[in-house]
Amino acid sequence: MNRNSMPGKPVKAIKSVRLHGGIRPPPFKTRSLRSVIMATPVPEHLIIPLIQYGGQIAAPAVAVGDKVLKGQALTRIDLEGICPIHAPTSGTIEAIEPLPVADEFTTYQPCVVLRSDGEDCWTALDALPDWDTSPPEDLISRIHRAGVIGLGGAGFPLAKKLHSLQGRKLETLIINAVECEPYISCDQALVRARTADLVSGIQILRYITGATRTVIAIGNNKTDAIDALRQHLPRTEIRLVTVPPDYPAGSEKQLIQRIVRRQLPRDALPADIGALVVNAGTAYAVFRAIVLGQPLVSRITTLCGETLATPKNFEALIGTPVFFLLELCGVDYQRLSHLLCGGSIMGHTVTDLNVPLDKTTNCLIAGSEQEFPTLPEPMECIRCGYCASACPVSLQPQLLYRHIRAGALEQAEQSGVQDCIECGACNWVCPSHIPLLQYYRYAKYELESLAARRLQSQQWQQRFELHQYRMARKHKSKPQQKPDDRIAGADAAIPQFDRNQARIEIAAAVERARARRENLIASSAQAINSHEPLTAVRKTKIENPHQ
Amino acid sequence: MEVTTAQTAAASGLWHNNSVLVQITGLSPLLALTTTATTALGLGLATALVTVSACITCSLLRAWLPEQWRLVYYLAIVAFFTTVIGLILEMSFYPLHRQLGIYLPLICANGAILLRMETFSRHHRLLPSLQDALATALGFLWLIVLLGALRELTAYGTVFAHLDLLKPGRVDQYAEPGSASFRFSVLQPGALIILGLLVAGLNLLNRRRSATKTVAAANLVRIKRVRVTGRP
Amino acid sequence: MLWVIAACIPAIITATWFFGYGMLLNILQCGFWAALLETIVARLRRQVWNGLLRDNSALVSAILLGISLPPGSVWWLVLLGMVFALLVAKHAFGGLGHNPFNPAMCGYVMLLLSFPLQMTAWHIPMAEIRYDPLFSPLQFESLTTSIALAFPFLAPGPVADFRAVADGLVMATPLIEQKLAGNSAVFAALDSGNSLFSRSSGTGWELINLGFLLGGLLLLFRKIISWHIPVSVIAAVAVMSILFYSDKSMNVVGSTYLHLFGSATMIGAFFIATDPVSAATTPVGKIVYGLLIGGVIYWIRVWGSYLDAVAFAVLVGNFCAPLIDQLTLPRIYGHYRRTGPWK
Repeated sequence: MNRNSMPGKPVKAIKSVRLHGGIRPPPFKTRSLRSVIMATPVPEHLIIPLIQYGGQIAAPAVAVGDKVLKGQALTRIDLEGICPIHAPTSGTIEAIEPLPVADEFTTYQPCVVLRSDGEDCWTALDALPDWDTSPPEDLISRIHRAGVIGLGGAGFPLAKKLHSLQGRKLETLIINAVECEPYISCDQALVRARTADLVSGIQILRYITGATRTVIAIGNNKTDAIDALRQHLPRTEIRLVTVPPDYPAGSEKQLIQRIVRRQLPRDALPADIGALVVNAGTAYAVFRAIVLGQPLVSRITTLCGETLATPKNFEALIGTPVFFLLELCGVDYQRLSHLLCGGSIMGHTVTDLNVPLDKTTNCLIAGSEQEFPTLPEPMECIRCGYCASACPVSLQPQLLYRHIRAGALEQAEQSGVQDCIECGACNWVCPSHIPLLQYYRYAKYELESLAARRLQSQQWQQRFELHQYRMARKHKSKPQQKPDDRIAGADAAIPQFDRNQARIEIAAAVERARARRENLIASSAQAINSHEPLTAVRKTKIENPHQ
Repeated sequence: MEVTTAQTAAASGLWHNNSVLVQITGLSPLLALTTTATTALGLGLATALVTVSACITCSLLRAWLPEQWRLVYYLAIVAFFTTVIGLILEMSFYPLHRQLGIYLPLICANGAILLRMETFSRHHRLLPSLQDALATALGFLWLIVLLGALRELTAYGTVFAHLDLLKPGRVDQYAEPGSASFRFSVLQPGALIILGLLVAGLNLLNRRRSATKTVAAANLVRIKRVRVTGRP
Repeated sequence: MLWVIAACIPAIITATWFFGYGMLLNILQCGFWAALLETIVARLRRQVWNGLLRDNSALVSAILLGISLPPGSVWWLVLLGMVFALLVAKHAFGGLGHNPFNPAMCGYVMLLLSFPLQMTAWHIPMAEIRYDPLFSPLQFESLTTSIALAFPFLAPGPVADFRAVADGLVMATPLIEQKLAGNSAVFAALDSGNSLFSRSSGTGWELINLGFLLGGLLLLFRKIISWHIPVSVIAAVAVMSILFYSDKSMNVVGSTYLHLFGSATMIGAFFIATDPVSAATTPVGKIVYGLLIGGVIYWIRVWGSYLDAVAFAVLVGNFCAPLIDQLTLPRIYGHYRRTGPWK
């Protein structure tokens, strides 16, 4: 999404009460909610991915063979914007190497492999039970050091989000426990089982942000969680708001509109319109980080799907391999055909059972062939408009589809393809089974690379023009020679051909060339060894072409 | 497109760059006056004469045509010949002249002629210009006659039924065509659709003739799609 | 698509009850030709043949064309209409989902322009020819006449041509007959104690239109179509006819009631204008599209040379639909104004 707003820029309000679109898929949550949250045993090996929000890789602060304690930082904590990652249990670092992780394409990313020693021994914890006496900045830095990120899905660092307020007053703090996507039930389980801790986490966030209004939003069909909140909330200033169980009611934009009755302008942050949305799981992690001093080393995650004998919600250590969790639920490998990470609408398939659980994995669905049947071939779009009435951001998916099929990406952009929040509601309602969302992703990707190409060619042109300018300047500053003299001089320069002289000149030229090549190789090797960016080498090459 | 020999010029004008089938120019007389093959032939011949004479003139005058005002000069040249031919028709072929009506003077706004003058005659000597103009004119002629014949055939069941229109003669010899049995092809939409079918036929023939064969997409890997929202 | 077919049934039954087997025969013929043509097209376009059962869209086109044609139309007329509808209007543009115009209406307009005589020769309802309340158009005699009209080569002797009798007397709809002008034949029948379904009651067209209304409401209820287009078409026709009606005028303008229930407005509003492929799709756009069609319907009926104008109006609407869509894109979440190329 467009997050290029200037800090502190005033944002014009878009008042709008009516929410558009949305679908109501069957929730499939009851099976995993039958049992209470269960803590998993510590597996022998834990794989902790180092990849962070936005594809950044956290720099490891440990080396292979180091012994670490539970809660000890594995990566450097002093880097701005990159959340540290902590050891989920005590043990030895066995390797730091690329391993498959649970991202969209199950790619290989740098991971720390930790061998558990079975002790599960905490490092010294810096608990702060009386948090209301310390300044908010201190609490934010504690949250940063504890590695708390948004546990709802995207994994945006919470400290960064709190910083986006930049001293402005927050009107509405929204705690998001809506959880509108089918199958996912971890927030519901958390709210009903750990209500007191959650509420105190919310109080901490309220204190930090200084919000005038604090709201916890929850789907109105989650009666047990609502009951639990009703018991705890009266003593606080937190208000309970129930929302219809539509999808995507729990999406940040939709939730903001429902609660503050204004739409989030496309180039603004929630903080710009005085709202902040924090996931319920994140609020609970804040409680653990501040009151208990425990960094984020575990999360509550839902395991469900038809192939599991006992689906349930786990409090699992970050880095636990997925197969370990599946086996704890009694998975039937014979029937397992799709493993989905995330909910059933926005989630993606995972093709490797060795991938670890990371901080953003809120749900794992081990589905069978009957549960997720193969779709028929897509049929032609007849523009029935079901997608347009389901779209939560009022796009016209049928027109976008037509533009993209025709290759008219510019027109698709003008019709708003960049505003798609990729919720997948259009796919869900399409009677012709057209993978609309995939078309929009393709269009977005193509538009992005088009813009990049355009920028590149602009830069090339700029460079060329500068070159032209330099040449012109150089030429001007040179003393002018008379053309006649130059020609006469050139004629005089080649009087006759001398074989020996030529041989010497050729040898000298070859030598110069060799020296230059070796020089170049040496300098680039040096640059690579000293971890300098490669651009430095290129730069010297460009600046001194005749060295 | 550099035309060097008479043969390539003819092939280009009659087929590859046919002003109607490929360039789709000069449509208004084409659609309005091809209700019968005879009127189509009449208009086609008149247009052909204008094309050839205008292109020759343009080629001869090319050294004196000012760059900025050339379009005005083109129009003046074409209008001159159109007027001449209109007067001749009115004098000797009055029934045909009456049939052609407003579309005869409109020849001077025919895009195909202007296009030839602008793109070819202006840059070439007399002989190549003559070749090119002849090819273009004949290309227009055969197509307009074919369209007229098709429309007449589908509408009235005849071809060249009123050929005596083309004979120089008196007014009272002309007989109005009767009511059409399939009126649709007399109307402009029908003409457009028949023209569309002709263009489609041309494309089909060209594709059959071209040697390049596209690789069959049969061995594309079929990607399995999955519904990820539970039972539908 | 099956629901659309189901929604046509009440009107088809009513029409058959009042006017005999002609329309039924039309629909059967259209369906047969549609199946045949779809097979040929699938072969030509190297598609897997799934027949009509794949999407039933050709069947819907066939039924709509069959209803619009005069009952007992001759076979080549029906075939020509279907060829134009399916081959030219639909498959030449790329098949289902790519046709810019409503195929059934394209076929109908082509036939109307080409064969005005045959297309306006509605065979007079038998019940009105013989002023005999006991005579039923559903009798066997009527069936043989219809078949003989549709397939002249099957008839043993020369076909009694009703056209001579009917021409100028009976039209596709009683729009200019003024029989219904200003008041409802249904209410008249109820007032005078006649049976609504007796064929001499003159309630035929009204009941057929009510049948279409019923079917349309079924489609609305099933959410096959949205309310925007039918409501705006009907509203436009109603408002125009209220504005321009005057019982002292010499012009044949007709009352609002006549325009709504004595003509093809209902089938147009619910079944033809709502064809999603060729209609506008944005919420505001649908209303604009419906108003345009309703306005053009009234315009052509009253000031044009054609008696009923649903087909022309729908084609005009189809022409404008892409433009309407682009101009009426709704405001996207988070935008200050509406988007689109012209914003």
